[in-house]
Amino acid sequence: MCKGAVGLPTNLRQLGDRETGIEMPFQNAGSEAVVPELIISSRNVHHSLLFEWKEGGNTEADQLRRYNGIIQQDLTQRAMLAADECATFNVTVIGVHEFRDRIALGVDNGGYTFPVLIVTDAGIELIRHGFAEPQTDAVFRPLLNINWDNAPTSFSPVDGSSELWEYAEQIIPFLLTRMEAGDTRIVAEDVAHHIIPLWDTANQNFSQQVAAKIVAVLTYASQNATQG
Amino acid sequence: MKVKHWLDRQNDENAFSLSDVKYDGKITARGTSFQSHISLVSNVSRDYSRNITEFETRFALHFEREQNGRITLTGEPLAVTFGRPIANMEVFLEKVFSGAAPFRLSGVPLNVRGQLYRVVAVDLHVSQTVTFEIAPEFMRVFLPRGSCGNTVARLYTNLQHYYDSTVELRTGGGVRVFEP
Repeated sequence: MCKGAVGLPTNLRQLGDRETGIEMPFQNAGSEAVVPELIISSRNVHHSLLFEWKEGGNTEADQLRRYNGIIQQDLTQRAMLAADECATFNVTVIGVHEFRDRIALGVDNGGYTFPVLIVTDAGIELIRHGFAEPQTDAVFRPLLNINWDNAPTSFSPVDGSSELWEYAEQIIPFLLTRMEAGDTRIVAEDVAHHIIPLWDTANQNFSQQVAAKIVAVLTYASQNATQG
Repeated sequence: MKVKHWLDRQNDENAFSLSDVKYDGKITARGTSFQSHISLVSNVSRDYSRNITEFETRFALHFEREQNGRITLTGEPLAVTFGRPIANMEVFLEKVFSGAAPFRLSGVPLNVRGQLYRVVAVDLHVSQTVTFEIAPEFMRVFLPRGSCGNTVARLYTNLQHYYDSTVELRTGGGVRVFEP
């Protein structure tokens, strides 16, 4: 969803929605940690959406319970949202089509009213509950159409799980610019700064994963540069 | 493009310059007023500079962690839209990203899915990387922070001049960047 034309799909942008937090940790009213993958907010409709992505079919009961404990004051006092952009809010669970039933079941079993969105070939479909704000709700009914064939892929091109070739795609052009600038020594850290947003604040696990891949690509490139 | 420019038409109808403004920035002039010519060149230069600065400040993408820990994404990709869809993607990509003049962009196109390609290219003019996503109807430009906005202006001009005069440059929201 965050890969829309200017970060968000046009329908949401037209409601004034903008990204206000990416993987932003804060505590709910019970002082329990929550980390929505993305928060978007609109001052026009005074509404915020807190997205929790699920790659697989399992929802974590404890995680959903913590999300359910969020109240509006948590957003203004701990997630630093302005009061006029979160008069209403929804925690929203997003999953993929093949796990639609299991994800919905996880939400149902907890008795929660979180909207559940499912990514399908045609777009993003609302399969459970609804949004507190009517105009936002209308965006997803019956379906937010998205042409995935043309969806942008380059906002954050690599992460810890990306393949080596995906790293190479980012690294090699950067190496060429450094070589053209006359650099005789290029360290993995410089490469990481260039290809990973907010590298300085990345956690250790992620940093190690990424650094290992960068070194693997650089090593391969240095040993195979003369091959076709 | 030919432009007739008066310095102060209301007071002096006879002080003007007739300029031939070319796509590459070259301006040649005839006329009765050198000051008028200088005025036109200054206006063109100022407008160009303003556009380039806007490309760099408004559109360059970057993630930022604020003091309160909030991470935000600023900037947005620009889109070159084609009046006529690209008929042969392979040929188009080979020409644009060969590294040769006039585009001087060097990169290896990768097919993302269907007719959508991605190229992490080096702009050989300024030796900086720029990412492109290209489909038959559009070309998205992801300008990294710190890169030169001139890359976008050159690409637009060259596409307009060498490929299709109907190309337009639009913001991610669809607003035209250059008015005709």
